[in-house]
Amino acid sequence: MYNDSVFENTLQYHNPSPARVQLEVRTGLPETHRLHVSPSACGRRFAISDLRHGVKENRSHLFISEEDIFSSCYEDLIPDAVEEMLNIMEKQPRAIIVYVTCIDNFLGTDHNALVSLLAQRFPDIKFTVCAINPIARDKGAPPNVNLQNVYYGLLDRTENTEDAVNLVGNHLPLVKGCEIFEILHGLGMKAKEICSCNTFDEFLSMANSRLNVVVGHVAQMAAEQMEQKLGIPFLSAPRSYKIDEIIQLYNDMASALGRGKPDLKGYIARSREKIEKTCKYLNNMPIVVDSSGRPFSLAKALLNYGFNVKMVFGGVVLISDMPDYEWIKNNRPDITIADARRFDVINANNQLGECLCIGFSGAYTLGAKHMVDMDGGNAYGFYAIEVLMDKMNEARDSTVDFNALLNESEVW
Amino acid sequence: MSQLCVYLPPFSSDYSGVCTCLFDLNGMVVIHDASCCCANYVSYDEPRWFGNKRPIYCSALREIDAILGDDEKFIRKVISACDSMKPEFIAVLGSPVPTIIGSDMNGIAQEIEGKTGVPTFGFSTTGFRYYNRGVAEAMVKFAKYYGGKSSQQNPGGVNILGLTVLDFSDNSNAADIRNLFEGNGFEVICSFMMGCNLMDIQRSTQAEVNIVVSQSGMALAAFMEKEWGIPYVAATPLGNEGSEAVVRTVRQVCEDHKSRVLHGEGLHDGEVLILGEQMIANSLRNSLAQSYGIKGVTVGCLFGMDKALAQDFDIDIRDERHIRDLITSGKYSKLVADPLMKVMLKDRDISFFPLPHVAVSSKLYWHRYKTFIGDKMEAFLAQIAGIPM
Repeated sequence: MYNDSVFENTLQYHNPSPARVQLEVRTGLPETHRLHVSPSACGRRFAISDLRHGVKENRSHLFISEEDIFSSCYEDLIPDAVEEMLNIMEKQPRAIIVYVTCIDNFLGTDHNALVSLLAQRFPDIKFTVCAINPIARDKGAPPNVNLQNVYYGLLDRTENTEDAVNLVGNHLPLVKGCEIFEILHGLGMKAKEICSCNTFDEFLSMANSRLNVVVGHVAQMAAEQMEQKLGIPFLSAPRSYKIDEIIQLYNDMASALGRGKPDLKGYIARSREKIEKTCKYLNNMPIVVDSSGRPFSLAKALLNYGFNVKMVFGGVVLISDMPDYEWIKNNRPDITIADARRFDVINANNQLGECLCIGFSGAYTLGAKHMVDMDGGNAYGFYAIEVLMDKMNEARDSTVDFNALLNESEVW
Repeated sequence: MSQLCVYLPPFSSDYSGVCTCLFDLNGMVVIHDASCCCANYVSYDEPRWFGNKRPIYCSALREIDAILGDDEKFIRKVISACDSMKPEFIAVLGSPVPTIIGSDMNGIAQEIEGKTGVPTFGFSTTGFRYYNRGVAEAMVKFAKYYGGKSSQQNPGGVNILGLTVLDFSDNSNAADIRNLFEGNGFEVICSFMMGCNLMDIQRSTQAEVNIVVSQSGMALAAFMEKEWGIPYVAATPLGNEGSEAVVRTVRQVCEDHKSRVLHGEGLHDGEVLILGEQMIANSLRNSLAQSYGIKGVTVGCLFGMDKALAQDFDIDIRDERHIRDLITSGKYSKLVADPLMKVMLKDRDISFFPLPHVAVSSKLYWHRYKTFIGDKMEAFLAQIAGIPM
């Protein structure tokens, strides 16, 4: 999924996260509980994040001690903890996801046996195990990918088929202005998203859909697994700012559903108009693209539209984005490609002067004057291009206030 | 043993304790982990991270390196960064995976020091223990290394031990505590570990008295008393009268050189339950007793109990169930605790008085922290006592 060898393997720096509290965010499945089984340290950020979003009741923690591990009884503690947890909860969950962390990779836990044991003791609840183990990203799926695999792995094959398309791989529902909803409606299809499901049954009904569209790369593997297990075909179409790729997606989508090509002329014209106006308004202002999305794909799209991209502030490169990375590296030596996580990024100086950064991380690092906030609002397709152009215009007219961002990020 | 937590988040861990202690010093700190441990610290345990760029890093440990025990890769990365960043010292910290695979952080530190010539400290932090253990270990290690018996004592010189953002946040508390003593004619030589530097740590052995403001400072206080004969006062200055009492006690210790832990008199179990950091909770109790005549106050120690600081009836909190049991015991009519604990009261007839603690509720309340010295804390104490201000 990622090519980790693009950047030198050094000590890594973490920029602060400006994540605002998004009340609409739904980080789990409805009617599902998450039990983190880990050293106490590992669960802290998940718990605080849940508290910020007001969804802490969906997650519990079972802290294990060094003694538990060295006495090899760590997984034996889980069934009793589940019982204690269920006794406290006012409503029984339909499913419980047991999260394990990096240390589990070294303990040889038999997850299947654990799930069987739990299923026998609590027959009305579905159980599954999800590894949140960034230590294993060199050999397998990273945690956010595992999470998608586990969520969609709860779906069972069904004989029912609905005229519906699943949009998979997004953490927030796509904003309603996205044309994909209109286009799907025109094709006679309803859109389903995991983060818009209000009940567990609604989530389970995603197994009835006719097609999965992978709008976020983290669900690519889950879509492949769903194709095998549930027989739902998929289209890979992670958010792109390239008009030709978006056209291709909609044509492929119609074809996969056995429909004719949708009329995209209006969307294309509107996007082109916005791009042209923005490019003119920015008047060759240097642009920095950070790793908030698919930086190399976005950078190449902007370059093709005539923007003055001067720096790509990456970190990890998606394998699917390697061609764009290679193109920029080979054809535009004037563009700096920097590793946002490298230890000496704290000494980075802004050599570009007044510039516009797309994403917080680049803006914070360089102390940029103008920033496009990529946080919040989940746009897709042509609409994402329009939103980005609007934000670039707004950013050009404003000066980023990092203190205000800090305050916003910590108020709930 | 294992603990189930349904309502509360996991508390700050030992590696965060070390990192936060070393934040103000001109060194390079590396957590040997995959990513999450460092992210925990910078995002949830360090109120100063936004706006301050400090060389505190993650080693990006990977499974294959852990399985092969390839410490060399880690060491190479640290040396390479050291060559570029030129730190005054290096600290390498363990995390859960190094603990499981038995990484020798002190051995690694020695090897790095041998190759770079830069003083390097190994911390066997695990992520299984709470922040105060890391704070205590960091303070003692740095005092041992940089401090040294001074031939010259500085009359009226004091050190403040156990001052960290995890207990005091980054509002004016640290400055207020320093100002309290400086305003009363003392010289604060070193405030371990906020607003200090390596030179201050070197000079810390000149102090006449140590003032221990959190339980994590007790290990250093004991060490400095034994090694350098510096007596201590164990109390957090709180409110107006409580702060004055600490200042008076420091003066007394300057006279007779006898260490003191400030305890209220005639205390008994019941009525008020304070759940939190032991020293701060003790000092709150002392103020309630001395200024407001409330003697029935029990301290529940969330991060471990130091018996030297405790009353017989104080409680070493084992887990979240233990807190639920105390709340439902019917013994307490008032609870002073981090705001996140309020949800556990449900419909119990217990008055709740929020006292945020960074190591519990992180960024949810760290910028709405109480100021410990002065009128606001006095008003809070009066509120607990039920006295209108």
